[in-house]
Amino acid sequence: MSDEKKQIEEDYQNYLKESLNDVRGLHPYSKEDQTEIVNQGKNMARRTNIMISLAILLLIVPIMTLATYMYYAIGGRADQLIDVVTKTIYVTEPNMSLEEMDLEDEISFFSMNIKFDVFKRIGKEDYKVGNYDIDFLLNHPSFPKKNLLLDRPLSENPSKETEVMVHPTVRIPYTETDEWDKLKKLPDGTVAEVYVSLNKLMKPEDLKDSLPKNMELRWFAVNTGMEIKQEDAGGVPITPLGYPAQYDPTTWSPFKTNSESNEEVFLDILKLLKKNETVAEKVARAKSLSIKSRLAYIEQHGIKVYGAVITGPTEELRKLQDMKKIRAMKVGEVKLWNWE
Amino acid sequence: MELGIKKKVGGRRLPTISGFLSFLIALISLAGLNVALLLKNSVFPGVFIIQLPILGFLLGVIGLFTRRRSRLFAIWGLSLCIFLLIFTFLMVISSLSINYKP
Repeated sequence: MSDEKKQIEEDYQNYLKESLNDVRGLHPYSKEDQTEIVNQGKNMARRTNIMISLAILLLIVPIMTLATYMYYAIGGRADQLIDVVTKTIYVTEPNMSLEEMDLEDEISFFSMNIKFDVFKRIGKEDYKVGNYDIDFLLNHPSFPKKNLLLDRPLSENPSKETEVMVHPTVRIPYTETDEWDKLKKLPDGTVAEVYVSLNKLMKPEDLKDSLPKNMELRWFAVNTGMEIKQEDAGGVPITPLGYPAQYDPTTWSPFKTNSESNEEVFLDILKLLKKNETVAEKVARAKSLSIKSRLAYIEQHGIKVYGAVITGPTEELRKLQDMKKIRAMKVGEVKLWNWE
Repeated sequence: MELGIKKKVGGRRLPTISGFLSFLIALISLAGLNVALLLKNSVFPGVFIIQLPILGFLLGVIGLFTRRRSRLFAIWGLSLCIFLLIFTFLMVISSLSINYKP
């Protein structure tokens, strides 16, 4: 037992000696080397920290940009918003069109901006009458910044008193004779745009057939059941809903179609706007469109018009005063002769 | 004592040079991309989103093949270059699907 203990003690001493020899056999770093290693480690840690922090910071802008692009691209969200905006113009702004091909979009962080020019046909020519600038925060539009170059722009805060086309049973909010006088006093060598209100509701084709030649119907104001009150169920003023009367050859125009009539396209647009009414109401002048109930009314009663926009030579437009179907007229834009 | 033992066990864990270069190139590309995005440049500078990330990617891959040195920078460089290339691809696809004009 004591021999065994002695043996263990010897082994232990040998092991200690070996370990001490091992340690002594090492060539430890000198003080300078140690300092250098510590400095190197410090520098390495500093460099790593700086580079990784920089990488994370520089990733923020690209990730946010990419996320925004993906948001607008997935499911064609941006295209749908653009579609709603442009179609709202066609059906809420009388005799106004735009060139979708020239519409510019710009995507920033979580937002999109679209800019486009709007046109009016006066006589035989399309005149640029201004531009729209609309910002979207994700899919929520702000009110459009409009820059309209019109002599007689429609009211931006529509009310019963500012309406230019009214239902046959509604009081005319302007003096009719004054407007006819304006037209009479315009020189013959001019072309003009006039807003007419009818004596009774008519089918669009009947109005087309009854107009004198040498003038062009541009836009129909459709009876949607709310034109008598001129406000929605909540008392908010509404503006006319309507559609272009002619085939529109402009590229990408919704009314450039041979397979569907303008009436059918109009109804399709209203169905689209019904699903995106919040966006449409921001773009339109009226703060309420009440598309759901107005669309239901049109689908039930068919398309009947109570007003229209007509353009042509001023001297020809004066003949409208003799038409019994026309109750009142308001002069819009006037341009130099282009009726050839 | 500790440092001496460390010397016996193995070499210092410094990153590979190619890994470091890959990371550096990725950072330069990212900086260029940031400038282009913040200035709302309509034409993206291809060198920052294609050429440099491809170079960084290759250097990153080379930097991964090491036993004794740290792969940290190589992994970062490689990841950032892959992100830049995916970013470019997704931006092209999404730009084409927003208000596309022939």
